[in-house]
Amino acid sequence: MYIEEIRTLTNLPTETLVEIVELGIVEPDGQNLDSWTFSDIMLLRIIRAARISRDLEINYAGVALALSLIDELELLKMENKSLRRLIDRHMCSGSN
Amino acid sequence: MEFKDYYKILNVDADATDVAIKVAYRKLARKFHPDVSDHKDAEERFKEATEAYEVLKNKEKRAEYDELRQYGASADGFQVPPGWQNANPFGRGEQHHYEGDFSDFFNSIFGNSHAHSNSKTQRNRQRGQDIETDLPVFLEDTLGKESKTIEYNIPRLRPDGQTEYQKKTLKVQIPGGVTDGARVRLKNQGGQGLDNCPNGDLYLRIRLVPHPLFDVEGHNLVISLPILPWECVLGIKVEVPTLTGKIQLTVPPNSANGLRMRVAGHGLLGPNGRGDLFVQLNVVMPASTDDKAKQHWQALADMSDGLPQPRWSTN
Repeated sequence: MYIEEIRTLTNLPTETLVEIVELGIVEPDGQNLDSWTFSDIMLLRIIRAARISRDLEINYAGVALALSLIDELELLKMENKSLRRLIDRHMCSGSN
Repeated sequence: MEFKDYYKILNVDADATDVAIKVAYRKLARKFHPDVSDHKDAEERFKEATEAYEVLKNKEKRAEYDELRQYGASADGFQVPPGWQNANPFGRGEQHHYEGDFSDFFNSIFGNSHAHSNSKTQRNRQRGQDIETDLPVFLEDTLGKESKTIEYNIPRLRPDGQTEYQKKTLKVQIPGGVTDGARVRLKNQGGQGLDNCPNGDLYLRIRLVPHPLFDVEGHNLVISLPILPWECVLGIKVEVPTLTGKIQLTVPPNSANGLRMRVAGHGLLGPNGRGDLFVQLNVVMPASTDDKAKQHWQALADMSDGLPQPRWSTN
């Protein structure tokens, strides 16, 4: 998807989309604005960023920070879950 | 209809200042916003808090609500008093850009025109709503082009302005190699668009169902192989399950506990073909040790006298 389609789907002005890209919230392929291409997942992330900004009344720099912390948290939770499963497995088979 | 105590929802006193109400709302919004929270009731709690804030932040609406609050909840639930008319219909004063729908309780007091009261929301409303839903996927299903039938609710706007939810069933093909937490977009399968506008999209959030035998590490799988001490020392040929069948594995003599043996190409599907399966040795003790066995262990222990002890080695 090019920026025009993203604009239509999100109702966000170009300058907000540029800000979102410049803050690294999404990283489209392409060198300049007209050649930027966005994936489906980037679209979802932009929609999510816009909702957070609007509902929690925070600017996009704050949203970028929040999203990167959430990403990290999700990763750690997944890692934690898988390590816990591994420990449980060892504890169970060790006690048999 | 259930009476909603907006003060209780925001966890503030009935005489709370505007600032206290704002602070309480913001705290709850940060905690329960569906985009930042994984609380199971996040969406409902956020909606509730937003509805409460919508009323309590506005002097006129708050005064109206306070008046109604005197009636409160009875055993039969809350009824709007006969002849009640809201003095401050929505559409006046500051608006919060909330896209969702408020409760019947809210609508019965303040009307349900809030969703269409500003042009920004109206524009958003024309294109159908995007919907996100979890899709539990078994590890085995990620190897090929498996199909799965999913059921989800899509919002529809009734002619009276109220939103109703309709069940929709869809057969989706699981893309090979999907990972936990990945999202898949299904174009136009979300909420219905208005005035010939396109439907919203459906986003599926892949949730890999924990497997009873395998753990996932990226595109590799790990299986724990319970092994007896003498099997570790002497080596053993053993049958190991894989996602698609079984393989024969040789554990070499003198293998240490925790050793990982790689079985190439038996992991999950990744960008460069299938990952590997790691079989990790997990030494377990026999369930019981009788006197005869103890004597054998003792003989082994006696033989090991003079051998270097690995305990607490710092190297």
